[in-house]
Amino acid sequence: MKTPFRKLLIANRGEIAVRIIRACQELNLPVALAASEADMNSPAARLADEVICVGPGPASESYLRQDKIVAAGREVGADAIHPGYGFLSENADFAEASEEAGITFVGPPSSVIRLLGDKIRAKNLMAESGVPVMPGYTGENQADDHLLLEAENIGMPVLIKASAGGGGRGMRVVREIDQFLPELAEARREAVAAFGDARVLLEKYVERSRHIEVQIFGDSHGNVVHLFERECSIQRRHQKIIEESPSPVLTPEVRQQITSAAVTAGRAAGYQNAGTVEFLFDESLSGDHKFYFLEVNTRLQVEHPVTEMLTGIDLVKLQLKVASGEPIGLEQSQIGATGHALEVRIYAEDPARQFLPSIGDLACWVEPQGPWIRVDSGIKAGGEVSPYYDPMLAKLIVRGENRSDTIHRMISALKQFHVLGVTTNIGYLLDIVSDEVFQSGQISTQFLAERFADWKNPTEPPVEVLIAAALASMERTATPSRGAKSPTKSTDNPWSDASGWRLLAGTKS
Amino acid sequence: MKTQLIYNGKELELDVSLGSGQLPDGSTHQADVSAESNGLRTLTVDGRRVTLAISSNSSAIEVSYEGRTYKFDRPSVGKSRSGKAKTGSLQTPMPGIVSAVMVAEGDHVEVYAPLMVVEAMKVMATLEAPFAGVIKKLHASKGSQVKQGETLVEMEPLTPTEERS
Repeated sequence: MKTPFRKLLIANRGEIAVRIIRACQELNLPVALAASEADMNSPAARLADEVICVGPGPASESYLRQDKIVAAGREVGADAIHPGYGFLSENADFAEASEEAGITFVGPPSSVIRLLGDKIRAKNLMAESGVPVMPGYTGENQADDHLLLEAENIGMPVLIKASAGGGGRGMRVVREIDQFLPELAEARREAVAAFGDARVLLEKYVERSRHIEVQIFGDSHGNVVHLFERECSIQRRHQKIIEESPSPVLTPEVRQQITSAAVTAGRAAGYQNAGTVEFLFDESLSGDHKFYFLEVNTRLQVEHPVTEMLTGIDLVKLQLKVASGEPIGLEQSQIGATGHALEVRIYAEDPARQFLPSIGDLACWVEPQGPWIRVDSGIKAGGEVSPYYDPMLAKLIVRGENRSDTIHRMISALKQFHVLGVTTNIGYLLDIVSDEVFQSGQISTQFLAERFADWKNPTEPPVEVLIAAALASMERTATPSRGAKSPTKSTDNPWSDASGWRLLAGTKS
Repeated sequence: MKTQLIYNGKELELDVSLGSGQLPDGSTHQADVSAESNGLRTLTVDGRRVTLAISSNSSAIEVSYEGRTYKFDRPSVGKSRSGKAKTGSLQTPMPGIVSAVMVAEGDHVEVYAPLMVVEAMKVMATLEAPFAGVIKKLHASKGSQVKQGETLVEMEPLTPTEERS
């Protein structure tokens, strides 16, 4: 595959920047990285052909500065910008500013981003196009008393959603009608603060449901195809943690329905490039329609490797191809998915202490290796986890013949992941994928709240760990503490003796 | 050689020695260790080989094994038995805004108890009690803007080891 682009500017950081650079390297496409001062020595910065600093660490002064990023694109002579996910990836104004500067935005046209970013317009469009939508209210009349009336008609519980919202912001569940007006005020306050748009829509709220999304791809020739589904029900406060495909709940018939609904949604919006159509899936419903359209994410998703593992299609390369004006070049019948894929997100946070982010220097970072094990990461040993950005450090993706095989590969891979210096959620993820309910596939978006709310690390270290700790403490004792400049003699250090060091260790508490 | 470590606030005594030896509780394990090129260690315990990662500094030892991380504190730090008082002065690791204060001056807290949260962007940093003790002074309140390295909390041990007590 060749690309007509001369140079790509990446307006992102971390693992996704590394991911995009790898695709560019395979395409022999020179790549420039727009980086903040905090990221000038990141693995992505070292892999890129050139790095251009776009401001200080805080994202509001660098990665979210459209003017600086477009100027950087001009300065390096880029003719395409890849926004990754997050930051400016779903910002219609940024897409427009890039196009106006003569730089191709790798994503849908700004008009499509704008349309789908407005949840009221998007939902109305989908309903008109025959895509099943959740019963609710998406009208123009936004007066409080009118919305209250609509909420009563829908019935409790009801979900208030900011029309411009995303990622759980400006969203409120109301279970008692007398709580509706206070919650509405709260949702509006959040929506205005975050998006500058007070409009809301109302939906029937389903307490236990699954999150199933369909990867779609469109091109400028009017083609829209799907690349099957991903189930992302394992979430904590609307934050996905584990994603997989195929969904354990979809029958071939329902898969056919949901993927065609996604293609219909893409066609209705005039979709181009990579997109994700999110659905709520309610197993308790009888009859034909168990799923409802939620929204379209107009970007490459964090969890795109799940789809890549199953279909064998490189989504980033396909994005660049389509952005250059070429057709997708694949008929729907040529897109297949075999086996099972599972992704977990590795976060620098402590699940045993309210998921507080952990920052610091990585004393150890060793990724698992093996067949069908993929790690997308943007950091390395000795690197620093800085306080400025999202605490996701990496994604671990494995593929297997079937779901059970894949889960066992994931357990094994997690056990080979070694991170020291910052606290991660690896042990928590290990317990989730080892959980019998998770393994049965009977999951919902309530799974973590129901089964893992009070998760704690195991209390007692195993004997291997005690011995290792004892040896490490001895190593210290053997090292002269004064005269720090003089190098430690190898004989003082049991670890540096590669020939083996025999000892006896006992424990007593 | 006997060595002491603290895990979850509990003191552990481990006896590690070269060659053979009799251990008080009868639990003896034979171990070999070697370093791998990627920074990991291979430990052979009673003939079984395991891979783990270890990081240590003057105050703590961290071990990563089979997807879990175990943190041990060295007793010498802040645990002086020489009659020296230990004081805890906690600094914020990052600039930001104090988003939560869980304690008040004079409160008694457990080791690792969260004391204060500093938030910047989407990231929160929690200041935790380095030992069980009393909150001596709070230098910031909810909403305070703080600079990196600023001292926010001062603590004293719960049972003072000074002679005057």
